[in-house]
Amino acid sequence: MAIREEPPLVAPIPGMSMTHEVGARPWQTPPQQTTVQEVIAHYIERMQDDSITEQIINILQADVPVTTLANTIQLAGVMEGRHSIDVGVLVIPVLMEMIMLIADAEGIEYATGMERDKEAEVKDSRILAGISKARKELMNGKDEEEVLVQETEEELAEMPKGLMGRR
Amino acid sequence: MFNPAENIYQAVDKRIKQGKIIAEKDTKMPKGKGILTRVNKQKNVSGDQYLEPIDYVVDAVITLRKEKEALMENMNGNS
Repeated sequence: MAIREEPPLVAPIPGMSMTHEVGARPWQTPPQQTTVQEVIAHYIERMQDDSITEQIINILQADVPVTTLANTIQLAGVMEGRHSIDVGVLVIPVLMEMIMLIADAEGIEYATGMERDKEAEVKDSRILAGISKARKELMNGKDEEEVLVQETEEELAEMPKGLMGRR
Repeated sequence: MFNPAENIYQAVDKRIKQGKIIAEKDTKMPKGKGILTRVNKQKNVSGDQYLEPIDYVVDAVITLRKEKEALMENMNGNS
């Protein structure tokens, strides 16, 4: 396993989300657009802008999948307080279709993010089978409750003991 | 990382395919005053009225796909 050389200073500080009053952030206020129709119209209009189209093409050419890009766009909308997260998730297929339309019109190749990696899936299923086999071997001769107690003790020992971890 | 985009896109895609299958079949319902007739009447909404928001999304996706097909035909015709 790789050892991290530097402390993760770019990560959010615990409790950072509570440094503002409730309602002071755009996503905590009522959304500007509440219906799917409004939100779709907004995004389609924005994505027809030449500068946005160019940005989308550049991002797709950097091998970012369409699913990730669509999800990021809608999450940005939620952060700006434009729409709620559920409306955002609902409009994702339209965003994806629009992105793919732009990419096809420009004739660039892109990854949809829905391609199945069959080899990886087989590997995953083998790992799962291996885990269950090992578990069965471990259970042989041991009571189920005894194993559960042992696992719980191990998990408790691994729990963080910092300031936030205190009870 | 969990990405909801794939799931929702596939759900809409499935709905479009199901819609095509239903449209291809003869869906004439027998005349009656039962609950089924009322439900089917409710489903026959037109214009901007949709039963569920996802229906609007499905319509938008179909429109965009048609637009893409037309665009590709145009591009192939020009080349």
